[in-house]
Amino acid sequence: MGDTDLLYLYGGGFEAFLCACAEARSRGARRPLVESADRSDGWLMETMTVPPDPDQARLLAGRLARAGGAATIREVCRCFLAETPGAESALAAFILLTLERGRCVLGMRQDPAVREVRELAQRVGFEAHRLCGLLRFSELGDGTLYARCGPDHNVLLPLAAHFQARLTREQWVIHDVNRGVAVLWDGAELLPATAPQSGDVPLSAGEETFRQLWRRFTRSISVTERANPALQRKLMPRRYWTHLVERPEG
Amino acid sequence: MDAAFPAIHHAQDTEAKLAVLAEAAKYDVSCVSSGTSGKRDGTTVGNAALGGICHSWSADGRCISLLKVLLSNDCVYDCAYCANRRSNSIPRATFTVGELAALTLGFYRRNYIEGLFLSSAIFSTPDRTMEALVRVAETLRVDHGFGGYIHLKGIPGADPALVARAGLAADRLSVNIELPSGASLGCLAPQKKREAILAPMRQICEGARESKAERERHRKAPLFAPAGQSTQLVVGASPEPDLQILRLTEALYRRFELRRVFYSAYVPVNEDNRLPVPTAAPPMLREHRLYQADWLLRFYGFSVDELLDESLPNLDESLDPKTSWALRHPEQFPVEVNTAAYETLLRIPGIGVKSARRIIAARRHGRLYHADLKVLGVVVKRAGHFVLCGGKHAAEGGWNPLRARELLTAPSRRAPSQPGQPFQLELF
Repeated sequence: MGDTDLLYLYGGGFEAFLCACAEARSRGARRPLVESADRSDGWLMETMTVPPDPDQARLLAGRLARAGGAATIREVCRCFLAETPGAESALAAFILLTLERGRCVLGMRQDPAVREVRELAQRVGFEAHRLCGLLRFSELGDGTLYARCGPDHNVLLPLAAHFQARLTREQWVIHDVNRGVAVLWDGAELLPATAPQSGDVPLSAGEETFRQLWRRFTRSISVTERANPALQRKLMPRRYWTHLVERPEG
Repeated sequence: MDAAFPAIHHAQDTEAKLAVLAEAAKYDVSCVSSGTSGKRDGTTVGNAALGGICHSWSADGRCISLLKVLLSNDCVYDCAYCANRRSNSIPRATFTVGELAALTLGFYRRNYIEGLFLSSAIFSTPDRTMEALVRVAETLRVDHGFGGYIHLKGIPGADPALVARAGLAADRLSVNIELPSGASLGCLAPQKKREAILAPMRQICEGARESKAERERHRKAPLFAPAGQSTQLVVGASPEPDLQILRLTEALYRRFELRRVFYSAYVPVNEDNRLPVPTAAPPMLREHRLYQADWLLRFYGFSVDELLDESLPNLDESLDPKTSWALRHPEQFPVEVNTAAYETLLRIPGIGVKSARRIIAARRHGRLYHADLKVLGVVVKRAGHFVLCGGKHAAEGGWNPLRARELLTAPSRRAPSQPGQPFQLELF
């Protein structure tokens, strides 16, 4: 699949990945094989581990932004946040192709790498959007709003951006229990936070009242003559029900 | 933090009211929270999302985006089709402004909703009712700095000054036409006069237009219903054919610049000799076809006259309206996807707005073949009959309208439909 026998390993996050792409490009590769160092088992292949270098990464990002525009940057970030094993090679190919041909690569869906990147980016964007709706905050004793989620993809930052704009003056925490990471907004800054992975949290006095009212509302608003649990499940898959307040199953 | 937001003081009372007044509002199908974005001036909590956000889905498969309730269900009118009509004996309730504010803000902060959808039965007079609705919206905006979505109903017959205030506080306004003709209105809802419905719609249209123009000159000019106006038509409670419903829809979009027309399959809640005898299930397939036709009017460049006429006044239940049109116009096909204009691509069954755009973007990089169409999101089962790729048709014999019709209307392709079973519905 790759056009060299070299497997580029990057240790770390997005920055390291961009360095791996830059390295592949400098060696003339167009469809390099790229994998994360801690996930790789490419011991059959010749590998090259690329260390993270902030300056190199910034340079490549700048070139990519100029060549592909904001839309490309958004697709690249989203695709990376998908955290799908094996997608890095397609993403690297997409980046190198864009550096060569520019923005129009976004429309080149005949190319399997472009297609994979666009599909993953779309999935991430869609999950972020869905969770903007499905996330449920609980008011804690001290007035902080706390929400848990278990997304397939790493959508914590897009979620945080949404709520920064919406609940600017509040203090809230969003906790990805699948990945064990959380962010806190204190009204001014976004900070990393820690939160208990499971179990109850100390709720405010009025919290249970609002939960009960919401459950009543969602039951009352349904038109029983049009009952369609299959459609409900299709639009709101079961795996998102864990952290809801209302009970879709009835 | 808690002191800034109103609390619920009598939880059990409020819960009982919520159950009654949410149930009373459920037949108003408008649920969208789209049409406007960003922050209003004076907001301390909240903003609006341009495309709207669905927060949950109810057991009927519909999106829950707003706290949708009546302010009161204690109605003085007696419309034949309405569950809240005066002559029904049902529990009656009325919210206080404080309760509604507490519910809206409490739900909003917890991210249960995008905002409030507030309608009401007519208690005492249209003016009193409209004033009460406006007061709730103004309290939320001014006293609580609420920046989320507010959808207010316009009460037919209300004073224009009240409608004007409503437009300044709400994001979207709607006045429900419900019945698609003056004759049906007169028969089933005689207290709602046609002019009383159209006057506020006209006023909202003008108000929104003026505000938009004003804001282009002065950025801080006040917002008036920035998410525009919508309405609802009940399908199946009265004898009008789809042609009449869609002609009315088209006129509403063109003359009143409505953002959306909603269709609500008639659900029999009352027994009344002016209404059709209740059958096994509400006409949901018909409602679905109307929505598909509505999409064709708004996004696909169709006019009603192309879809229906006096000799064909109702949409085909077994086929989507675009496919039905295409089979009646075989002279328009097949279409070469590598060269056709966007407007032409849109008219191919199985090709939607997204796939038409993708086709145009992809063909810049080289010629498209039939195998490429599926990955571009084209529904090949339908489109395959109607297109050429590089001059070639997918089938051996080439374009064959009769075979296309046969295959597209074959019963084995239809999802099994038992009487009384609701159809699983999706839009394009």
